[in-house]
Amino acid sequence: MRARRNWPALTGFGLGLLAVIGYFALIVRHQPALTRFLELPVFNLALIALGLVLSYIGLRGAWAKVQRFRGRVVAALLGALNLTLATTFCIYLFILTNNLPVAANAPAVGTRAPVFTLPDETGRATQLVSQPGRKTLLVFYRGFW
Amino acid sequence: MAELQGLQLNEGEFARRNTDIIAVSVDPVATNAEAVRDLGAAFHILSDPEMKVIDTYGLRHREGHEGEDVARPASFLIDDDGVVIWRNLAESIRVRPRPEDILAVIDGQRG
Repeated sequence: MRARRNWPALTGFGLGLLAVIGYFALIVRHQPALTRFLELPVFNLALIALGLVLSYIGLRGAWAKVQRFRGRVVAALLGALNLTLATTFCIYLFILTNNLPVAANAPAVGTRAPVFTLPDETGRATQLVSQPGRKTLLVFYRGFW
Repeated sequence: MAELQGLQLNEGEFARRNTDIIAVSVDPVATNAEAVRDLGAAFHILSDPEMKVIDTYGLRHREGHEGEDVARPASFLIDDDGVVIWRNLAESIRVRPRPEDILAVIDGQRG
């Protein structure tokens, strides 16, 4: 008799893949509409968790039932891939994107913002100047548009 | 990029509060011209490839982008005396201050 496909193992890996691809293809690309999920992708993390549970169920199933050797290899391989994917994604999310240097010398609240002149997008020299009744929101960003 | 898009979407709200938005990055003028066009930005993006201003503000992120130095994300709200009245030093490149939160800060400063 042919061994039945190990659906939990397959689905588990599929969910993990879907969650990670979905993060970059959907959430990262649809900004600022999905800012909340860029900051904390709760649905993707939930899918990953569910996928890992299914991988575990698949792995247990492959060992518990009388199955061909191949079934165990496939379940173990998919489980390992899923775990690696989940770990890499979490490292990216919680470590790699959080490694910004401290800005100990940045102007503090209550201190004067250093004045400067820089070229704008047309090349025109633009100065940070204070004008009566007007505030300035100065935003530094990473660039590499 | 998402951050600047969010600011552009709220540009009218900042204008109503007499607040000018100025963005700064290491990108050259030509790249910023493209960015302003792509965004339809009503504000200016300034170019600091030598990181003079970025260093003055203590914001250099060494090898922050594929081995190149960039500015770490940071925002400062400056009043008409040139004094910083609010700032946000992002802790993650994924998490930036939300425009509505900055607007609330400006509203809180009034009166």
